[in-house]
Amino acid sequence: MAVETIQLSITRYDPAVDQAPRQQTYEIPYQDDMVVLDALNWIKTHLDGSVNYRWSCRMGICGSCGMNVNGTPRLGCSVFLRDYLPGPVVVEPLPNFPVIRDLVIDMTSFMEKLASVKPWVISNDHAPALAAGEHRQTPAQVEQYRQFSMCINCMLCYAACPVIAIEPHFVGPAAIALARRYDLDSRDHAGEERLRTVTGSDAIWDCSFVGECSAVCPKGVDPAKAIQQTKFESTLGMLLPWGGFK
Amino acid sequence: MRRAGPDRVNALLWATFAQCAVITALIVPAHILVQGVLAPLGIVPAFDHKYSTFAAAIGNPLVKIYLLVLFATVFYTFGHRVRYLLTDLVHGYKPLFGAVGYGLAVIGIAAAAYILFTTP
Amino acid sequence: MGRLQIAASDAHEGTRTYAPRLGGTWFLRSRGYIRYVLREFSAVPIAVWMLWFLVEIARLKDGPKGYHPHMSPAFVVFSIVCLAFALWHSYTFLSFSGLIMRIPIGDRFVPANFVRGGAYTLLLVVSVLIGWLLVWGGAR
Repeated sequence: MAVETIQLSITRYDPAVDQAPRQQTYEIPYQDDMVVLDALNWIKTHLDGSVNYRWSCRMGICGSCGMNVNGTPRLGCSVFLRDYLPGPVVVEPLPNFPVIRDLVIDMTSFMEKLASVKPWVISNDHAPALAAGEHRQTPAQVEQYRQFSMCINCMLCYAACPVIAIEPHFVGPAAIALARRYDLDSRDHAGEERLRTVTGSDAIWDCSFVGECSAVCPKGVDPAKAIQQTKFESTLGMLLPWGGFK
Repeated sequence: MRRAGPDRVNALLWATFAQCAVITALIVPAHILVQGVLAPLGIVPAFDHKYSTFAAAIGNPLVKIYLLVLFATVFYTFGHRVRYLLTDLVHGYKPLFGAVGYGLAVIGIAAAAYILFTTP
Repeated sequence: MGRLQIAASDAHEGTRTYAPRLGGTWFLRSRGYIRYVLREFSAVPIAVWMLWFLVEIARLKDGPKGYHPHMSPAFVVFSIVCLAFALWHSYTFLSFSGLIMRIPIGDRFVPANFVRGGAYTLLLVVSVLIGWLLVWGGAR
């Protein structure tokens, strides 16, 4: 018998009215190719215009629609309802962040942590002049940092990481992965400065390699790998006489 | 306010853990399998199952050093993991849990060294 | 940024953010968390088994009459449990070798699976060597 409808249980929180978030259940028509974001949009259009959530590209590249689906941080646009039949599908805001309203979380802490690793190419005085032409990189040079460059800042890794909840100042998986992305980029010359940030307080040494950040990452960035590699290479750099990181 | 690195203390504590955990991973299973399972079941003889062979082995300085490495790596791995496990499960008090974990490790290693080098 | 700050502050009625709490049993919430805690906890049974071994060495001072090696079924069961945790530690920790170590060959690096395979092979070789020495030491 074909499935006709499906239920979604969505977290609602209106700070003017609610002391704490509560779940509200909606029943919607089901189609085989619907994702959670489609369901939310259907609810907002036809059932309850007051439901709040972030979304944009609906194709897994903007990182806006992070939310907990049946207890796991996922992108709402990339989670098919058919994988959760017969339902209900429980949709909650991303854990480890303050909730502003419904599924909308306060990402201020993430923005500060991201900025602290200066996630942009920083050149030096010896960089070639613009007139000399573009930077050139071999495919092998790109391959060094390509995986870590896939991050879309969706914060699913922060939601999955228990250390973020236990030690809220922990700079976090995406920030460290991005610091490494720029460290490995041959165009960048601020690797040592970023290394001082990620090897200082509230950074790599808070990580106990739970590994859930990599498990939930929708882009295969593997931030856990980036953090462990940073631990290993920065320590070698410190301990070995020729290591170069003092 | 974040303090810039490198945090040499944590780097050293982690590097020591990484080495100890690798050594533990390589040498511990054989000991538990032979001494703890196969020998008590009578499948193989093990050096610690007769007084004469055990005493002779422990009397050998090379064996003492090897066993000190075995105990030290296991106890240090325990101490480091206990520090992080307590922080994860009990929350907060990281310096206290660090003291507990590494403190227990130091006590264990000291006890192992004392026992090994005072047993003829 | 200004709007976010206002929304996040407690000062305005109707704009209270809700701060979630992790809870004491967070580690039971996913298979990944449970595997992590088991991995970290594995250091405990390994250390306890080693304490038993240390006590056995200490008993050598009591002379031949005071020396009784552990042989009971309870001890074998205890050892099997500790062995399971020890193998879980070995499997998980040696698998990190592929993750962490970047061994350069020219422009590229040795594939992670090769490094891991090398680590597991080393475990097998070392285990056979130690096992053989332990048995040879007992057969003399």
